[in-house]
Amino acid sequence: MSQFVRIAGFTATLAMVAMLATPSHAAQPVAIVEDIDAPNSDV
Amino acid sequence: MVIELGTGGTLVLGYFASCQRETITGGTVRVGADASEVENGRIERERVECDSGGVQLVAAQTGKSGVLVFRVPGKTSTASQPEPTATVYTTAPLIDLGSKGAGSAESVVLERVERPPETHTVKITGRIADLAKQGIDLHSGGVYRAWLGDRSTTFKVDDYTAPGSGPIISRLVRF
Repeated sequence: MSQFVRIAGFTATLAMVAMLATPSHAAQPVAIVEDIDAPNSDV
Repeated sequence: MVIELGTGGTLVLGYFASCQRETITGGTVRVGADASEVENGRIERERVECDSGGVQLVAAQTGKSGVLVFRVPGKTSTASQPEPTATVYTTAPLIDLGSKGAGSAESVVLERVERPPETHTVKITGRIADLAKQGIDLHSGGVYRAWLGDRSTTFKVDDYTAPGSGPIISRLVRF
């Protein structure tokens, strides 16, 4: 089951510490967002 | 977890388990355990140095892998120094204070464990203290203890790292 998140509005600073977890690895983040630029995201 | 980038959006992700750094352009990104799946977009992957917290072998590797251990004579010093719990691969780490944040603290204090006179004060922004943004470089091979009030964590700068910044997963220290 997927989980949608709104991260398109993050500033670069906030995005740098956006840890991403998956439902099966909920206790520990699996990835980190280094940078995001998604102005057209409609999530 | 699914991230919609739309058309032309970009995302740079670093995976802890695989040390993969992905640059994704457009489409729908499904975050996995060690890599992303992308629909209707483009993905470029590179492997970078990072502390994955343990080596994970695929089935084809497990039968071919082994470890050879060399032991050196015990140290004469019995001083109790904290053991590093993480290794960074740049001389300018990024310290993540975690969900507890900084509290009332405004800075993280770093002290070099094996050479105590070396200390640095790193200003906190939000929940991070980024040495690269503040022009602070540590020494390759050094072991450092980061203090935030009465909390601390110890990390090592890899012996062979070149000076400077780098991908976040190569330089992340987590409290």
